[in-house]
Amino acid sequence: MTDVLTLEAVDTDGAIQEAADRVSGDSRAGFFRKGFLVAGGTLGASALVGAADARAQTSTDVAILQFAHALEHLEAEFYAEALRMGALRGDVLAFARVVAAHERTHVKFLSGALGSSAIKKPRFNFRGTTESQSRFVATAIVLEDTGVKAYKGQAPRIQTDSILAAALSVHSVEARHAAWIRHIAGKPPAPTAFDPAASLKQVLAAVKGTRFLAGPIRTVSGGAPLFTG
Amino acid sequence: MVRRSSPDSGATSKQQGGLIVLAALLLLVAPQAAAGDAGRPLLADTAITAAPPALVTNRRARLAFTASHSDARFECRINEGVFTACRSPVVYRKLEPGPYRFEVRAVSLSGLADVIPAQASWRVERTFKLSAGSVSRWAPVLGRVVARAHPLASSPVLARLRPQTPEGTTNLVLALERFEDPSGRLWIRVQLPVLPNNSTGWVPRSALGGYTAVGTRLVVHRRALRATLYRHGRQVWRARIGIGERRWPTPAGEFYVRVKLLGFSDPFYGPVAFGTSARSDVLTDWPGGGFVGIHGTDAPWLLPGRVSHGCIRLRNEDILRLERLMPVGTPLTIL
Ligand SMILES: [Fe+2]
Ligand SMILES: [Fe+2]
Repeated sequence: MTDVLTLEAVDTDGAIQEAADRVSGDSRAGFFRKGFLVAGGTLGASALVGAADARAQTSTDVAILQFAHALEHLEAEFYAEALRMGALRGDVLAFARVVAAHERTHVKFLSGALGSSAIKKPRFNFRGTTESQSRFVATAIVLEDTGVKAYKGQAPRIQTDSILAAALSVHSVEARHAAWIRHIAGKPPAPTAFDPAASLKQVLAAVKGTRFLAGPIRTVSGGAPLFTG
Repeated sequence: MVRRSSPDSGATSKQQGGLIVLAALLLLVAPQAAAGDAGRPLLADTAITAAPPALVTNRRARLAFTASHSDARFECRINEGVFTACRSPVVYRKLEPGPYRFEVRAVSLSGLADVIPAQASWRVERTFKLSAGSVSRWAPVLGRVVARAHPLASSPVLARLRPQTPEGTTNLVLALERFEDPSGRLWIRVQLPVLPNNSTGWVPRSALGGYTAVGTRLVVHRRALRATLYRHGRQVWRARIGIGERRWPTPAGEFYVRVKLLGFSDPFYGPVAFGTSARSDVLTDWPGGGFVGIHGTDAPWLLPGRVSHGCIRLRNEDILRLERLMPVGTPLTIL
């Protein structure tokens, strides 16, 4: 299913690009207006779940967590929709059930950690990848591999110890997901002795390639009715 | 239609079976010898004139057939069952996914059945219901696309869909079921906002955006002049309504809410108007295509009644409450 994921495809509303720009320190004003809307409030004003030094978190940490939150939304909704779409069977279905619950928990955890800086769930179009077993498997591999590399890439930049500990505990679970679905697909679960980290740019390219971020939908208009009256 | 050449094994009496074998032999050896006094063959020839295509997702199958003798009667069977008397057309409903073979044989006045029944075979493919029970799903139309009668690129075109409504909003369709064809291509059967009302058609999955689920359904009872909104099967709103005058009737069928209009300044339509996928069967040259709306009014004393050009008219306080409860994409049933 190489047609499902191409790296040249566009991020239709630029949402993940902007989340990434924020992590790189390029805080474009458009970030808050686009698909990944911050639920409200200001950066750094949130309470980190279970962390005594929540107030010590920096704007860099918040931005990294927001990027992670965006990716976890994507994963969580992908599995949730796949379970609703009734196309999965056997091992793949069992995998999806377990991982769906993990991803839901990751989203919840990051929502709590970010508080008022949390990212709102964007609108997705999974383009049929949740509606057929083979497309689902190919896509799950890309998403999980991307998640693993994304956490690894950001870990050295995290400034607060408690956030780093939390990120690492998610990171290793993403690695288990990746190995599990690779095994199901008949690919080597642990292909190399050292895993490469992905830069923000590379993560972005992978996410962009999915084209899962849907453009805005307008269902309300202020125009005059033309109905039969 | 392939005709089976093996001898008939149906539920005829032994005597009749013997006659059939005899007649068959006569046909094989000397066709003219099987002719009756009037010079017409003793056996009627059977032909199927309408049958499902080889692969279908439709669980309803309609089969029509004729005989070379106009006075012949027919016997039918499906999947090697027992031949029983039947008439054209035969309709099967709620067929489970799987292979089907239909056979029909004409029985001439002489009581002799056609030796070789006419036969049609097809396969009902499994589909996945995207809207079922109290949950429905809608999806935006991403670009211009044609909707087809069957999930097949060569199937007849039923309608052309655009990415925008006449109101300039994102066009959306109610997604009914999904089919993955043998090559792995995904097709979605959608409710179509076209005439004739109640049309559905198949579009490639790639023509649609992501799904949004809704748990609401609006049911309009024309005779009772009443509309009821259900959420997950429970009534959450109800109002008396105005519907089309008898010469401009509000059409019956399955539709959906496609657009919401707010902030316009035409008191005739009240403060809120919903656009639906239903269209007037008579006012087809109406600006915007004659779509049926659900809206308020500046003449509440006319309600309830048969007062509109086809639209569903509500008192303003009712449409304002409905506006808060009914999301765009809600299925609409007009009874
Ligand atoms: Fe995750
Ligand atoms: Fe994961």
